[in-house]
Amino acid sequence: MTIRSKLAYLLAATAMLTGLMHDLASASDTGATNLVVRGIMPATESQLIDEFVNRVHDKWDASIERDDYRVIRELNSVLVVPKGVEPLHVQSNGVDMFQISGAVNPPAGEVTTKEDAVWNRPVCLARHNLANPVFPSVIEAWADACYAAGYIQYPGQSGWDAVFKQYQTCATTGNGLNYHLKQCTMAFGPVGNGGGINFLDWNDWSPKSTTYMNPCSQLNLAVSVAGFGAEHAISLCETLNPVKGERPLDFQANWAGDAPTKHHRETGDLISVHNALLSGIPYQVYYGGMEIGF
Amino acid sequence: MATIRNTRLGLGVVLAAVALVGAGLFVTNELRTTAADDGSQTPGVPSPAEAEALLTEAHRLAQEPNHRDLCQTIAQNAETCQRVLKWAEEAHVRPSADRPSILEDNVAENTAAQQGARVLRIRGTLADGRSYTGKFSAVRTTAGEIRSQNAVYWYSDFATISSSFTPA
Repeated sequence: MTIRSKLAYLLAATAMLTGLMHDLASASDTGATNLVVRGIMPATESQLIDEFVNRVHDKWDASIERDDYRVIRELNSVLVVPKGVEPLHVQSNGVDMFQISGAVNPPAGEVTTKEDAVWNRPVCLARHNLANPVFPSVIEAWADACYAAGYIQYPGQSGWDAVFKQYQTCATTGNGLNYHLKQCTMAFGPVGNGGGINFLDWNDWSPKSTTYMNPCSQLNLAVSVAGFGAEHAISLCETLNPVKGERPLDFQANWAGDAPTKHHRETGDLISVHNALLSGIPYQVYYGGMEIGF
Repeated sequence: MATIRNTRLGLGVVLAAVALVGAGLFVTNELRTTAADDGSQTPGVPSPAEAEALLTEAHRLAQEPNHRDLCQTIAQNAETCQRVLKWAEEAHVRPSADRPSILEDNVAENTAAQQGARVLRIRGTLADGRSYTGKFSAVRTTAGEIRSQNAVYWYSDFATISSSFTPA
């Protein structure tokens, strides 16, 4: 072993030790371990925890107590979480996500005929970081998302037609355990069950069916309302699975695959609903849905 | 001789390691102190001056033809930036030559749901003379760089989850 390589090892070990001490201090005094890392592995709970403990040991040369962890199974997902910690949940079809509210109003003033959708200013959301459950300062994955709402106008229109588009990029960082990205999900949803939602109807949605692309390609999304429409495109790798609910606005775009560490994956959708009233439409945006595993 | 050399080398390396650990702990402590001194409760959130400097640079780059370096230099995620930039161009919305003014700045807390950020509320004018108000975010990346989550500030707004957010 050369002097240079010895020093490199020592530098790496020092950095890990410093980071480890900081992480352990943070974990104990901030309670920041209420994030979960999803692993998708067909294994027993004991094997899942052993796998996690071993990876932590291999990566940081640190020992954690396997008895401090437990496994939660949800639908098709498996979570390894510290005992006593409840995952922060906004669930949609079994995926943890975070929600934010919005509202879109009908066109104001004099009506002019347009073929294309008129989009309001898009909103970009604060980055959602998925941290390692043991080392909170180690970010394992992130999601960046934007969405926009607008309207379509056409002659003879009764009520008005709203359009919504959204997209999200997810990636693992490779800063920790070299996870792969397994799922990247974003969704729209209605607000509550009563009031204005009774006057909403589905117009159109895109994608309409599960789409698989290999190699990665551009996926063109489009909705049509009375011959007028809106378009949106995302870059798709592997599988995009749309999950449409019966209630207007209830739509989830679920990317699923096995993206190598640091590789980016995109999900997105474009939907349109009709409002029989000339009232605004409140809606929810769900973002940050990720699963990572090995 | 070789053994003696290795022993000396080993001792030197151990001493170097001790020095490095000490230096590492010192630097860590210093970083914590610096973060606490900026008045925010969220370590690592850029200062108001850093956020304003980023906005100024974003505005300068936004004036360049095709906004060539805006996404690479300013955005936390260049892909997101390029997508929103495309939306802005499709909508024919461009910024004016005047940098937007800052109305106020706030800190978005670092939580499980979002990355801590300095959020500037801004008011500006578009190239066609219309005015707008919005928010411009500045975050410190894990690499220590100051970047924005909505670099296309004249077209995209920025949102955080309120602290009163509760899971559905």
